[in-house]
Amino acid sequence: MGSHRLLLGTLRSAGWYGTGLALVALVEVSTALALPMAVATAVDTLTGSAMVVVAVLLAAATVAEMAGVVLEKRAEAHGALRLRRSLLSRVLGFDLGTARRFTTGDLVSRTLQSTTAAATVTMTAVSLYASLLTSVGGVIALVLIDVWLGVVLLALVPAVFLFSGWLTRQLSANTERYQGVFADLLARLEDSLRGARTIRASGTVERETDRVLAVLPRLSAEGREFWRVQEKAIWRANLVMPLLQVAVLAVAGHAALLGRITPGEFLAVQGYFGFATEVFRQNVMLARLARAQGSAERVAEVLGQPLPPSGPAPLAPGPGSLSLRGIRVDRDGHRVLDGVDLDIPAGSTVALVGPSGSGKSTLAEVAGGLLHPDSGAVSVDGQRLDELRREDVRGAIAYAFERPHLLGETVADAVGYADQPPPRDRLVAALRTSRAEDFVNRLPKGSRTPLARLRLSGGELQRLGLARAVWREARIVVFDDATSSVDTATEADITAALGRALTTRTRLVLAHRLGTAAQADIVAWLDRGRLRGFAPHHELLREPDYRAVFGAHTAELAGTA
Amino acid sequence: MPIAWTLLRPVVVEHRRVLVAVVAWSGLAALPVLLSGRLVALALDRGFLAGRGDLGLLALGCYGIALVVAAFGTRRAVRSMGGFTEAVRDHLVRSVVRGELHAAVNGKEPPAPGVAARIVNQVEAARQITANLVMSVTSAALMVVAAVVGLCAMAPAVIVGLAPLVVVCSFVLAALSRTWRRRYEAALTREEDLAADVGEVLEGLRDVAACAATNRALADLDRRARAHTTASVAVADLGGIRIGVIGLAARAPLVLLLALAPSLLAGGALSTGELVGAVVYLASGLEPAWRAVAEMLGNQGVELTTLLARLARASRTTEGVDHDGMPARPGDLVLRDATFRYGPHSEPVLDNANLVIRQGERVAVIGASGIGKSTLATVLSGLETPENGTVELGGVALASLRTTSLRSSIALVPQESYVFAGTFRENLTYLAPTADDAALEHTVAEVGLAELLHRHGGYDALVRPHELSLGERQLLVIARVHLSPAAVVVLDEATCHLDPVAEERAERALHRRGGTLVVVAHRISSALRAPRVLVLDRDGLVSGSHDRLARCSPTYAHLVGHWMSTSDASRIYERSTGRSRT
Repeated sequence: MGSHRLLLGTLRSAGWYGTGLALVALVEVSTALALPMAVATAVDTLTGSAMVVVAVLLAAATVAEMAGVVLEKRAEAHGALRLRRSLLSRVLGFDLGTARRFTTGDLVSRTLQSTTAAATVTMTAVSLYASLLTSVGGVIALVLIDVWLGVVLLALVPAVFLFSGWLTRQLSANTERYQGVFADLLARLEDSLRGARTIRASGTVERETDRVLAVLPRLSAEGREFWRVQEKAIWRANLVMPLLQVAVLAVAGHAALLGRITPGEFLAVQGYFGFATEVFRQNVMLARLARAQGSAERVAEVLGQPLPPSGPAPLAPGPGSLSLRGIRVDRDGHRVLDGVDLDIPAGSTVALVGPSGSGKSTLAEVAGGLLHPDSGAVSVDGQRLDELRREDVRGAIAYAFERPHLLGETVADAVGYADQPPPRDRLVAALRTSRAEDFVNRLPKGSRTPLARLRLSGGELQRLGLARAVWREARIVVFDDATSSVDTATEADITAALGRALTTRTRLVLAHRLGTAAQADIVAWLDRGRLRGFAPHHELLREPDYRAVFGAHTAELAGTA
Repeated sequence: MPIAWTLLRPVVVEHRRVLVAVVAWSGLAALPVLLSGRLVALALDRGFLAGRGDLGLLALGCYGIALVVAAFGTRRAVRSMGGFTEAVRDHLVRSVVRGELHAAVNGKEPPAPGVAARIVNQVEAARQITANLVMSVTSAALMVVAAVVGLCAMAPAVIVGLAPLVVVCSFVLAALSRTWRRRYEAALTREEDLAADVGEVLEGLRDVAACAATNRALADLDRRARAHTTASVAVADLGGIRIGVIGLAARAPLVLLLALAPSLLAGGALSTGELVGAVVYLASGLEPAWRAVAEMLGNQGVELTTLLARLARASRTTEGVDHDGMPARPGDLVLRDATFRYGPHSEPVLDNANLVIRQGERVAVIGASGIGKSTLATVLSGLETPENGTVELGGVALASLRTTSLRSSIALVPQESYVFAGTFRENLTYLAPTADDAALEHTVAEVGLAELLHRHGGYDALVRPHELSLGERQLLVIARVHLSPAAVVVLDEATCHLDPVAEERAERALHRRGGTLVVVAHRISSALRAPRVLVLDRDGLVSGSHDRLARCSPTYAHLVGHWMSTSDASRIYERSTGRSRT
């Protein structure tokens, strides 16, 4: 979706806010254009009816102004809301491959800032059209009052035009530099905030402050430069416009001298001159339009990302067999998985083993439909994932991660975080299975403790992540190094409890520990993106390369054992 | 207002002369407004309408000269105002950065990076509004004065008639401002809520998908987004009403003047030219200037005070964290009857714990995850104070040591390494700013950092924290501590991302360096290297040699036993590759 279409869509979707805004602008423009002439008539004739006309016009202008402000902000707020909704629902539909093209901070700024800026398009467009109308109206009015006024005005226009271009170029170059320095300052601050614990332990908070503030002089210098440009700009602008104004007034005075225009019309000339030059005061609006355009591009880029394929078919009940065919995944120009075929029987426990960088985590993501492979297909109980309803796939496969990211309000909410949250007893049972019950009960408000104020160790976090995967009645559960921070004793406890709780489920377990591989029914041995072996652990142990996965010493030892 | 003012006062006081200059130069900028009506009246009455085109042109020429003078005044005013604005921004950045860092470092809550960044961004908004207010409000206010003065000389009746209207409008506007401000603050808060939640969910996209919680997440965010929209619309509605009041006050005078004109003209109090001049005063002087003043003071003024109040809160530094006291002397590190818990309702992590770590000793701490090993490290380093009992170094309670001395004597290294964007030298000498090259070379060789340094281009190459692996960062931090003068080094799982060989080398280097070394062990293999082990469990602290602990600590037997029994091969595996992450 292009940014133009997005902006047009925003304009259209502004609905009656947009229409209302356009109407209001029309009223504003026409009352504004009518006023100088009405005042001129009142001054020249001093009749009551002329004065009533002026009063009515002023009242109408005031009401239109009020309505304009309200409608403008409403159009903006609702436009931003609409863009935010479509952006968020798109992003939440991404597979991990697409999501990794953006950083979180980038996506947050697109969701908040870019949508707001893009939504100003309605107001900006209306305002620009209104100013154009006003200017044209002003010029016409001047010509109608006296032809020479129009001639003088049009003769001097190019000077103003050139000046606006110069100013925009100067300011945008400077603004870019200024923002660059500002970003540097922010990056330094974020570095320090992440290192807060070390800084506290080192007692170096004052030095850190100095380190972050070291860029301040550069920021000041750019800031001063900005004002120097402004100063020049204001000087030039304040010379050009007044000269133009005096010239127009002189022509009007001459016309008055010859009796071609009345004193009231002389007054009107002053007013119409202001309107005629209105279009040159649109720098701010033009800059805003450019910003809306740039922001719309940032929003459109996200909305243009592909969603992983899915179909309308429901997932039939089944025991949970998993089949991968010809899985290929490329990332940053290199092949992470290269034609992996794997059949995992229902109810079995399969360990995924391989050295760092062999593609284990990627394969685990592909197996559960979190990542759509560049080619190949994944099937659950004989049905292809990309033909199934997304929510059915998500419901059938659960994950426990090495570093789970907890979401929700409280601990209980985070563990039961799902479209269909579990009943309380199933949640408690899951906490017990993952050996999280004890430490959760020791929290200030137990499982109702707010997440925001929680400080958890890596092991505690992993146990909550496990509980989150355990309560779901998923037929397949993927454990991606899910107990690496839990001490060995607790880990053994958890493994035993999981064995009891998940007897009939299919389990895919990624681990670095030899013991894990030994306990699995079958080991899938990955090497540089390919499946090197698929057999029970004790059979694979005969291969020296397999033993090497667990360390060089093991290779020697296992050979003699 | 008071809190916002407190934040700005030092800059305002320091730059009061500059501010006076801004007012003076802006005064010059109001000159054309003061003269406009009078000169137009003259040009018409004496010039164009009296058949004297030259006089008319002369009057207009005078007006042109006044405009040039005003342009010059504005130019100088911008210069002064720019200086002031930059000084305000510098001051705000300084205060906010200091406040944010202090809050993150000394606060109980974990820092939220996004929030800090947004507050710094608010500084930029405050800068732009300050510039606008100082410059435009001053000149607009002076223009209002100029127009009123000019009008008074021509048609004082209008001014007299307007006074009651102005008073009423001011009251209404003041009342509206208060409500507007409340709504504006509410909208800011809603925006912050939305930003925080969007950040959380997007950070956890993988987890949302894996939990089958897409609709739940979308519904949560949608609620937040709608709340923000509602709050923004409420601000807008009030803004509309206010604009109406301002517009009414700005436009009524013209109607009044026109209504009075027939009698003024008939009575000879006003000439035709003067009537036109009076309209000029009202339409091109008073109306735009009054609007500018009212809107800026109303909108931007309130916006600025709201922003400043927020910034002032963010700038508060926790006073009294650092205190004076005795200088630290090396010696035994002793825990005496120490009880520590995080909250009044939580179970104590340490309950009447006693422990002596001899000067120069090397101790490993083990325990089940979540039992409080990190807390123990924090208490031993003097970063948390036990509610009962004391921690002593060299016979002196940590609480009575001078903070700076305590911090440089005990170095705590947490799991997440702090590496900043500076040179390698700056990062390495962070705790020993005076270290020379020889000391650096020694440390680098001992810790095993030479290869990393060579690859990145030596001591003066820039560190890009995100391009270093977690293990490389930890190694850099170990070298930093190795170089430091600290008498006690506490490693809190600070080598968990190193492979076992590198970990062993780092620990041995720190041991050879001398001083006390406390290692909160991530791997049993690391604990086995220490001559004395400290076991932390529900029953408290037990310490001793491996043999003693194997006999008398069930927790030790459990932890080590499990690790040993998995299989012989796995034991070797632990020692050789550890649990390094893919």
